[in-house]
Amino acid sequence: MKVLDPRSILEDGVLEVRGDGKAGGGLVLAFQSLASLFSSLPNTHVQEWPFFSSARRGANIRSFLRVSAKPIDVGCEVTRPVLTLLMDEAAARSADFAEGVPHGGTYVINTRRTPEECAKHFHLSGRVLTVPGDDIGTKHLKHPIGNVSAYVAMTEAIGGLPMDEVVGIFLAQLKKRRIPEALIERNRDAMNATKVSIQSGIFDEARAGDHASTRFEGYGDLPIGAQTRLRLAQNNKTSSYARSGFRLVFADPANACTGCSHCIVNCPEGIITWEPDAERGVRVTGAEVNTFCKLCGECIEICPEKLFTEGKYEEVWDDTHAEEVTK
Amino acid sequence: MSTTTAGPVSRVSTPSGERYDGVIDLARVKAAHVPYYPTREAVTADGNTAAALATLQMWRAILYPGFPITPSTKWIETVAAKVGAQKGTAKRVKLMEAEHAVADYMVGAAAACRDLIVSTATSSVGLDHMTETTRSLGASGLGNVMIIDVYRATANFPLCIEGDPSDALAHRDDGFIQICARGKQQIYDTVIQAPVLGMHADVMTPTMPGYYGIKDSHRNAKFWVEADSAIHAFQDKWIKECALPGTINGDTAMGNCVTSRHFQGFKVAQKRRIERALELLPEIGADFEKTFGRPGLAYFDEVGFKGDEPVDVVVVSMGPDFGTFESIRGEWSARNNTSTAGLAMRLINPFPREAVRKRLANAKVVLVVNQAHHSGRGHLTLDIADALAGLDKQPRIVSAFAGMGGADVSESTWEVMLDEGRDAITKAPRQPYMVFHEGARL
Amino acid sequence: MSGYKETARQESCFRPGSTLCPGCMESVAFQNIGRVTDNGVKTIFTIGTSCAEVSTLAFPNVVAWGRGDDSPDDFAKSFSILHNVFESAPTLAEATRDVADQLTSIGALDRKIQVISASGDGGAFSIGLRTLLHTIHRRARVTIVVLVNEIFANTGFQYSPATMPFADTSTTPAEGTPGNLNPPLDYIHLAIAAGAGMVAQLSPAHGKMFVKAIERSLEVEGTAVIFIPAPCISGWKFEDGQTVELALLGARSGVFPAFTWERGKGGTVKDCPQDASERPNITEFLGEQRRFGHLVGKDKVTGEVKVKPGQEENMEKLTAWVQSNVDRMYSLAAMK
Repeated sequence: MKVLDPRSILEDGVLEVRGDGKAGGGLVLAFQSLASLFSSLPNTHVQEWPFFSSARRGANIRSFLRVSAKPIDVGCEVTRPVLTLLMDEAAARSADFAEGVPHGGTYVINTRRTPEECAKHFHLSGRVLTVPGDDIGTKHLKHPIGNVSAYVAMTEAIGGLPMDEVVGIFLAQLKKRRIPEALIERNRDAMNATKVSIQSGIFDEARAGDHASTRFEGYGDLPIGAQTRLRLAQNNKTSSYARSGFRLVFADPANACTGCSHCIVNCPEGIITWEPDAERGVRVTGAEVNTFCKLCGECIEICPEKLFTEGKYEEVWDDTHAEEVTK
Repeated sequence: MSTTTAGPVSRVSTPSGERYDGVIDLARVKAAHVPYYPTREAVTADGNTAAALATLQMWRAILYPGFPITPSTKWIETVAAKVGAQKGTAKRVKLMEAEHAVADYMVGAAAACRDLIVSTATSSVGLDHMTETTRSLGASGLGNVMIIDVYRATANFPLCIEGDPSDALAHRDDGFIQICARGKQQIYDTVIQAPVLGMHADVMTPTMPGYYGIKDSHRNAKFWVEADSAIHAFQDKWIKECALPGTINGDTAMGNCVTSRHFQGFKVAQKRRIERALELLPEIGADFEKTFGRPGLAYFDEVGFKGDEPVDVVVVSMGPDFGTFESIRGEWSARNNTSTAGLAMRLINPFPREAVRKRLANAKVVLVVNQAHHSGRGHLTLDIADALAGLDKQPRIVSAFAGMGGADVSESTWEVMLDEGRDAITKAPRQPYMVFHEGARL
Repeated sequence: MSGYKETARQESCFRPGSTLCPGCMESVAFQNIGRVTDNGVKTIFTIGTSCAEVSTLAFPNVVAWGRGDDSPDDFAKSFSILHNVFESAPTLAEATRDVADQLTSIGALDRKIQVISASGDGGAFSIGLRTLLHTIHRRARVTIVVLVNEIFANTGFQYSPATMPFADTSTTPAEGTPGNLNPPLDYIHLAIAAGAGMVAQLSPAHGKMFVKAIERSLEVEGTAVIFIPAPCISGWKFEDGQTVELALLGARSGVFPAFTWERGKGGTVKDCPQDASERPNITEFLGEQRRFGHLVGKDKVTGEVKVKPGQEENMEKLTAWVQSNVDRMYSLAAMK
């Protein structure tokens, strides 16, 4: 396997980059900062754009970037990126972040896990860089947001970019967005911390057919005028909109639920489960956490008995149960 | 709240959701229709009245939304007067606050019950004001919507109510099936046949029959009005109960947003449905002729062709001014020793490219007379050029504008245009397009 | 059916799986409207283009509507939803109502239908004011709900005619300016003046009242209009879990007081005394939202919300607007 070097690609032709993340997770800022960074270099051309669906905060989004030493004419989507970013592990549940990446490509992943674990889990062949961006965010920015680290790791993956410029461009982007000065300085610390936290390795774990680009096989039977059946939403498991690393936890060991029904009535998703109760009318038994809960926190705030809390959550990759919630 | 239940309901699954059969009893809607004409009758009236009578005689039309738009579109007034005067009528007129509201209302009503026909009439800026929704309707699958367009220049700066087909031709990409009628009989007959085509299961595309404002909307002539029962029999033969649910008899979502990945697919499907109208239109027209003994829907009216014999000059135009050409054609041909024929276009969207090409293949010159505002050589000219493209022996196209803004196209104007056509048999036309009025080339 | 707990047990026609933001008040509103309308009568919703539309009706993944997990056998549990352009939801509802009534009068439909129109404030008060007022004016027997989040959220959080004074929106940016300077359209008064049979301003945060108002709206004569204040987590920029809390604070502090009114009977303002000293301070409401971050700030130690230096005059103006808003609601309540 020949490892494709992003730096030499952008000097000879067009370097194509793609990122997967969730709306509200800072992916767009990371890509805009990368674009600004390259724009600031002499004789470097960029093309950068995000793709959103109609989905809101927490839904999957994609960002694209092209960088070249020559003017960029190509106008179609990036489908075979040499460099790809997985900004949020949860985004990989509904999109293949490595789709179409050629053998020997570079993969940047915001995760606590090691490059080797990632290469095995996602079947990656090429250079894998990991960075625990959410932890760095929590430590320096008091918020588990990994875009600062993802951005730095991307510049590391491309190589040849001086760190003071990498930092300066990002902070300038924050200033444009009217972020307070104190917070901007904490971002500087987060970037410096990222630099020493990046791990990387070269692996060849992709099997034949992995990450093949999906071929267009027609639109299928389209209902006239897009008139559809109802309840299709049940395929849309919106629990992946929840902030990564957290899940709603319900516990009522003392049978304290008063049956006030506030959580039921105020749950935006209507997913509080309950059973009829002779005394209280209803007794709440939990919520459909693994399917639809976006972790908005309304039930946590509204329950007079404080029966709902936010728990830490980590997906277990090598387990058939695949999910585990720890308090 | 209590629930009334009556009549058995059976649930049928469709790709667009559940349909609850038996919820709406269409037989009762039909039975509630009070006929306007128990027997066939000759009537002398203007075009707007002819269109209004046709919509009133359909049992499937029970709600008539409308908005006043200038004297040239006196349709809603006629409908209101007739509905108001009819004892025990099942019909109701709905007066809206704007054309846009009328179009929106038609979406709601047509979606509520897909077996009813919802129609209105409008014109010019009225159609423009509807545009946001007409463009939606074009894609909607609501073939039971019919907008009668009384052709008028889209007008303001300066404003005038005279009729040319600028509005209809500017709105061809709204996605409606647009059929031009000329003469009261054709207006009446077209309005009866249009929903039959639009509601066909393969087509499901709204229709826009139309006719020239003032020149046809305001001139009186005699035409035959069929018995309501005969119209019902004809329409019922073609219109089957809609397989897709409506909002009342369904469990369904309509007017959805679609993801980018599928959007193009829906646009392609819309195109396919309207193309299917090209195949069905002549069948419906032939059945109409068999039923009522008059020509039914057609791509165009033709005059002067003798089989596939070559013709020196073929005129392509539309609307009542074509009749003036017909009236002078014989005399001009004899005087100029030039054979002539003509096509008066009726189906203006989708454009019947193949049929036009076949009919014009043996012409030496095609004189296209445009009447709508166009920044180039004319809507019809471009369509004819497209239809003729690739023929081994290309007829020469002479592009003319006459009657813009509803101007009169006099006999002398036709003669001078035909003279240009005759000259083009031997030499190229002197300009890419020419404007004519009162026997003069401007 | 009546009562809060009973409502909680009803089945809603708004299903999980929408792509609305976590904690979206529109979602809470639809859940509860969905529960109240599970009353044995078939419901048809019409909806204008809005977050609520694009996030709940996107083929092929999301149609977050329908009663029960499967298509119901019982027709009364069936459900339909119709969307067409930004502004037309009230007109679509009126047309649906008319067809149902017309079919019923002919004897071709003997099951009841209830029709609810839903729009956002952008759709209803800007481009859709014509359709809103004329459907009310024609006394169409429908319930019109307007989800008022004070912005065009769907298109990127731009100013709408319901934006409150000094709010930062993407088209009234509080950068070198004090934010929005235009007082909101008096939409409650407009609905009454246009001829509504019932007008209310209530969010699901006022649980029982909200439920009762929706129930009543299905019964009154003429058009019922319910304006639902809808805190928007992405547009108002507040922390998770604060949606219902902010809806209550906004109502109690006088920004959008809980209000119900019926023609011929008059109305009431609830939970929002006319005397400002009896209401929560408006700064409590403002302090939770970054759209007012240029106006007020929270003390990091005490948590107290303070007016930012130099913003005293704007704050006075805003306070005066709130009082005039409350006074206006009381005077509207006194009308019959």
